Amino acid sequence: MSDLEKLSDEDLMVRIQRADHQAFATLVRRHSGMFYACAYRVSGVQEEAEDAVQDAFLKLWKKPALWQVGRGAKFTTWFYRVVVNTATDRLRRNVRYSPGDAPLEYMSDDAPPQDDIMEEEERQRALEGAIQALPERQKLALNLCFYEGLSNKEAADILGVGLKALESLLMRAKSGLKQALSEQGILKGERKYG
Amino acid sequence: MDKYNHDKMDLESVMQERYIPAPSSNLAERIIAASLMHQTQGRSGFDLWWRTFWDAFLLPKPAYVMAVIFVLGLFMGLYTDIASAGLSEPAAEDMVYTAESVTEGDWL
Repeated sequence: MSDLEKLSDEDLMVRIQRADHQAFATLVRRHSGMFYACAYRVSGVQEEAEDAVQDAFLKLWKKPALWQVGRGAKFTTWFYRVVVNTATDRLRRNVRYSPGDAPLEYMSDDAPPQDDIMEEEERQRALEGAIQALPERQKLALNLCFYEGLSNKEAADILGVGLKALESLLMRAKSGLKQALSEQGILKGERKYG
Repeated sequence: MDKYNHDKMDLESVMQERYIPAPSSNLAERIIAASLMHQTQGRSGFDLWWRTFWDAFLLPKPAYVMAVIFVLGLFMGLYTDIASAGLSEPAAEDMVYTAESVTEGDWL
């Protein structure tokens, strides 16, 4: 393990602010996977998510002073905001992708039977579609709290809302998702309406 | 377990099944290579030191507003004291009048 790999994210950022490219490379290798998942949850499209993460890291490299050491913000919390905003902006500009279109990839030899794969693909497409169809802020609240595992406080900071507002967004997101999944017969014990 | 909790558990277990495809294996290297084509506005020497020093004193906006209100209040209070100082000083004639209006009976 190199010396740089032992440094915290915040220490790496201080070095990046001194134009240390090795520190930048270390930070990218450490976090690109995690932030890719975050961007994917916003866009629902692999290629789009990869581009969003790349854009976010390039913003960081070009203007590292955007992160202010004295404010005491944890790097990951601050960068979540950058990634979420970048992915959301790209999504607004670029609507040529439809979320959940990519087929699931089973790489191992003990892949499930074709019928199961198709059923699972359909289920995943419905879930992804229902999440992507949520209003933007509800979707972000759900992604940050449920999927990224951030605390409510961190998620509220990223979204720029109070705790009560965040809880309300979460509640409405889950309620909307539940209704959408129920309508498609995904949730157990529920039947399609109509 | 009531219906609501049953539904909630189902919803969360369905949400847990959300699939995230793995990113391209060279994503990190692609980002690093792309960054080489861009100039960084990284800082050095005194500039970096000054920014770090200044950042250490950064306050949230409400604190700035409170500080401005406090300083304004201080100046306004001080100005009012100075401006009213001349007005509140009793004139000599007033003092004479006061002395004349006091009768002997008032002292007894």
